[in-house]
Amino acid sequence: MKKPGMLALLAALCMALSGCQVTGEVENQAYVLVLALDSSDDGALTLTARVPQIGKSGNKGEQEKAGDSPYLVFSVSAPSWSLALDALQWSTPRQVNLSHIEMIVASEALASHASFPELMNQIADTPHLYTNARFVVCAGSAKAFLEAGKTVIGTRLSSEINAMLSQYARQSFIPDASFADACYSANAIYGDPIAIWGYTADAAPSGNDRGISVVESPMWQRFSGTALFRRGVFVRALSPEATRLLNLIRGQSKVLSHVWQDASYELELDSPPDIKILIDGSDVTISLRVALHIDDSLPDGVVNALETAIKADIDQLIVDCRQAGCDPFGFAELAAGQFATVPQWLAFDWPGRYAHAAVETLVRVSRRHAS
Amino acid sequence: MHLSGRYAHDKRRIDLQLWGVLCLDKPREALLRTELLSSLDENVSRFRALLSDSVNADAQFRFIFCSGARLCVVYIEGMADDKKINDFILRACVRHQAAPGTRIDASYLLGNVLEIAQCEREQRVFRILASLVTGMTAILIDGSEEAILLETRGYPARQVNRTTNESVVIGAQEGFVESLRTNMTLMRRYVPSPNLITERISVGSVVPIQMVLVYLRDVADEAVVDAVRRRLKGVDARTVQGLGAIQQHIEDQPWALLPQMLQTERPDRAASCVMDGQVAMLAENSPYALIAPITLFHQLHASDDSFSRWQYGTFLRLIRIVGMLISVLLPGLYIALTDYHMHLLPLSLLGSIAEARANVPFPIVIEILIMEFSFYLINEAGTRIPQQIGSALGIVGALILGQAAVSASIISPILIIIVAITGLGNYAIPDYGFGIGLVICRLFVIACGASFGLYGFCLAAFVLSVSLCGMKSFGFPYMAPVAPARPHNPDLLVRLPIWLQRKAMYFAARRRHVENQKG
Amino acid sequence: MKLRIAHDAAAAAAFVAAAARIFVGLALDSVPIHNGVWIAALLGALPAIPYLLCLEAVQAEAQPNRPAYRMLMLLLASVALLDASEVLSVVAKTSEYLTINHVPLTVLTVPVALAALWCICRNGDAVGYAAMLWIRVFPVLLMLVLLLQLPHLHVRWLQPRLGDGWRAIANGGVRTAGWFVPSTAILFVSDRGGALPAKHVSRAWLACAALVTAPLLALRLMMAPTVVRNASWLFNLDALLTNGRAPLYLQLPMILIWFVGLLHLLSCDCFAATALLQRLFPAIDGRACAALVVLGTALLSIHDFSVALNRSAAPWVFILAASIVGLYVLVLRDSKGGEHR
Repeated sequence: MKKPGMLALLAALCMALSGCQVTGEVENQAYVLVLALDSSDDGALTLTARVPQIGKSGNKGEQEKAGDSPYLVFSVSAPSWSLALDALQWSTPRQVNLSHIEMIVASEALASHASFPELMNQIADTPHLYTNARFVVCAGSAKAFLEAGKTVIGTRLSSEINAMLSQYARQSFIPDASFADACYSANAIYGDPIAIWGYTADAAPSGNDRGISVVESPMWQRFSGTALFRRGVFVRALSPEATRLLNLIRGQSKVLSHVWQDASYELELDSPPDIKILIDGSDVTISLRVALHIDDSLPDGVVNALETAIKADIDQLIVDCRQAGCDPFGFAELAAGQFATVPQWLAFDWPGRYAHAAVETLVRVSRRHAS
Repeated sequence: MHLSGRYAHDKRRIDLQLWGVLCLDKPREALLRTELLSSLDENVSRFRALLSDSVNADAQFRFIFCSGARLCVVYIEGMADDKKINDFILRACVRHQAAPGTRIDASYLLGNVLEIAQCEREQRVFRILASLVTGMTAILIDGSEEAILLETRGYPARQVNRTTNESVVIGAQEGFVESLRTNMTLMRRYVPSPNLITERISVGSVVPIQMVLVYLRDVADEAVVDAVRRRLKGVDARTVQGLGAIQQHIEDQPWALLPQMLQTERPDRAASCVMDGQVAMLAENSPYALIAPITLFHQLHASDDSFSRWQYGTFLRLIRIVGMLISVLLPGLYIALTDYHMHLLPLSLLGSIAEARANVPFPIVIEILIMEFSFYLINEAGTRIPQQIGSALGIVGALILGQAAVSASIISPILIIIVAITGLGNYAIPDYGFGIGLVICRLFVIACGASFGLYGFCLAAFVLSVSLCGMKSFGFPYMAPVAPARPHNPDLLVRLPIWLQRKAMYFAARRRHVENQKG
Repeated sequence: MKLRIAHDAAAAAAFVAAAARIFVGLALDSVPIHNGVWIAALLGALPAIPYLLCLEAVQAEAQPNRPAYRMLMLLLASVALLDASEVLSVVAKTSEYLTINHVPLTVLTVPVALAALWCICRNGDAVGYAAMLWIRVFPVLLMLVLLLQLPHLHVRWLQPRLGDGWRAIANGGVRTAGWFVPSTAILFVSDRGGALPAKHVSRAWLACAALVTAPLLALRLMMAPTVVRNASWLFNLDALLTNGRAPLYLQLPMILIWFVGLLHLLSCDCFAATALLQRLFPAIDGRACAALVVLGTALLSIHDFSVALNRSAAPWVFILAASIVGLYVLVLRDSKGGEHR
């Protein structure tokens, strides 16, 4: 009897020791849903967080219209990431919880800065920060971009962000880019990261190369296109049309909606794009074969013209990316497979070879035969 | 088979069977040790003293003559059947006319007069006394040093009826009753085999209880039967109140939370266990059987599993196992996740929990303990409450656990769902004692989860699993045949078709014989 | 109390312990060998099998009074104790990372040490059969992990790359072999006269242990190769638990595997050290030995020095243990031959 009693006493002591700690109850946390990062001229980091108010249940959209937002916005500025987090904690009346971040937004200026890869690593190393959040680079101020976001369809911003971005990704207007992927790629030696390109409505171009524009929409945020990075630093944005081609080559989309002569055509991939990297000594050849099919009612002329147009667009996309010095396609990863060890791969100097590699693109569009 | 010292019985005490020796004063104890004398009056006065006839209203001493011989019929009123005594003892003796010169003694009466099938001769006073108090009748004969014990037990007893705690949808509906003889008959009916052994054992030194070991010769392992026999004989208790007390005296690990023997009120289930090579114990006044040895999986099986088609049986069994896991783990997991690991909950669920808890004044651990306590309070009250006002309890329970607690912001609605599911999971477990053991395990998991989050939860699960694997039932591992792995029928977590189940249980005699030969 | 464990129970415990140790070691402790990690695991298993054969031969001819035999027992006990201290440290630090960061590390160490003490006092069969029980549960959890994280796994990253080259992989292999040694200690103290002795069961279990780590290591591998950055331990753990890119709530089954696997490893190490200590000093009661070992483990785990020592000594442990066992077998064979003559 003595021994079990002693053990029970010790166990109870352990529990008491740990139980006396102050644990945050679920309702006493400030769950950050969107995190926006800006840089100021003096090099300080501005951190803006959007936090829901727990207990304000009901239709969030209705409340927002009535001017009583169920979300709070906290913005702080500090010289570094860790200090900014401290400041955020100081300015927020509840324990800041970063585990449920849905979206991380970086301003164009910050993402273009040489220190951005290091910042990405610091964010990734923050304990319990949800690194699978969507990663957005926006034109202008990230804080303004965050504040422009509001629930439009649905009742919660958290579910709306997911639904909205999934919708855009499904339509292939944006890449399916997460912060974790971007962070890995920024550190990797086998490719470059990408992000979603965003901007607010007032910063939107009046019309794009297809001649379409939004006349009226309650959505003040726009997500459209791809942000390209070179070794973790933002270099340029791709248009939605180029993003669609990029998604096709990356295997993230099986459908291509292509515009030709003021008409939109739906094409479908026959099989995943066949990409080969041929290395012959110092010569590198990138071979890309894309087989698509289209509705069989179209005349031969249109099919052939589409084939030519898509090939030209893909060639142009590859040229643009090579000029920017980034490889968002995953060519490097395929090429690296031919090298046994990391030192061999590094010695090969892929970035230099990629810039001068020969590209052989073959696009085949066939008609879908009715079964 | 290893038996610890506490089961090694005192041979001298058992052999003497000095029933009642500890509660009697010295003179009466001396009387108990004696044998009958030839003087009827002397013998009767001894029994009057032993039965405290001067104050006891129900001890009956009836003097009669049988062909001139003086007899005394002794019985306990109410325990013995009056009709049997009147028709087959008194009337038979009084009307009998023996041939002149015939010596009327025990053997003559047994052979020529008495019309009761079950009779025996006895000289020892303590034996006669022990039989009298169980409802038998003794005939003391003047001039004879032998008495006749007659089977006249006829006390009121409940009829065989439907089971109350182990109901099944398909299958036999009758359950054990308080009468040991009826229960033995039931076992005989379900196992109509000449190899079925019903071995009588008396347990307890002051007020003994009659018990019967039921097993199938050549199927049950003799070592197991012997272990059960030795442990029962080694019970060092003045009184034993039914099989529940017996179980506590003879189980392997009395400190363990979970029972190491199976209690069943279903004769078909007990018969099935006996046919599998286990030993069933029946006792007077206990409307159920005790089965040993068992494994954890026996506690999770119900008769329905075998009676239904294998698909249905498997499905029901899986539901039960999930119920058990939910019952033990769910509240602990809930508290670990909501208190420590919010990042493991999807935001939509977390939002719902947080909003539901926004006005609740207690931390989650207090909230969950309040609910668990309320649940068991209602549960226990429901067991004790008279049937006539049982419906009122339902209303009170529903109000406390439901609307009122939520309206008063004492409890969050989501916690009511958690506790309700946990309770349902517990009720899905067929064995009552096992269910209560799991409830205590659940409190342990809650304490660990509340103290250390998932780390504590895993620690609790690990400690419980090691404890389970360290348990034994009459020397056989409790988690067998999974851990240790032993050949078995596909009838543990899933119950595959009955025609695939050809193996004997791993603790059956034949199986062990084969294993020993292999070994 | 005499500490004993049936051979089938010891084999199960060694299996879980070896799998957990290889996984923890290669995922957290090893020098970066990138995608060559699975080759290192298999490479480490190769020398472990002949080592185990020799150990079994030594065990079969148990000569507890022989100094060399006692030295071997002492070595195995020390290795098991050191390994247990590192595992205890990893368990406590992991739990600290997984949000219990308000309390001192010692408070987190005490309950797990108590649990280990409780397990040893339940004796070896309880420890081993519990491992046998969890062996049935782990595949279900692993399947759950793979299913939940399937959309986030990229099979092309499984493509074998040798990382920093064969030298780094060979280093990982020797370290892996070293991690096998504490797991084999429990086999050394097992009772081979059990109910169902199966031939070569321990060797088969250990070989399987190396293979079982494959799906775990696959999860580890399916992160994009990040060779530029020297990822921190904590970042590694998060990546390990959710593949870095899957939602955090999918961590749950992986956390269960992580903690329960480590607890098994700890109890296996502690039990082996306790049983060896009792065989070295038979006069000491089993419970007293258990208390000594658990106390020693807890004290060692608190100091980073012992943990660092264990990590750096891993490659040498195997070489040392294999040398002693090999020499002992040679001596044994010679003495047997002498008897025949």
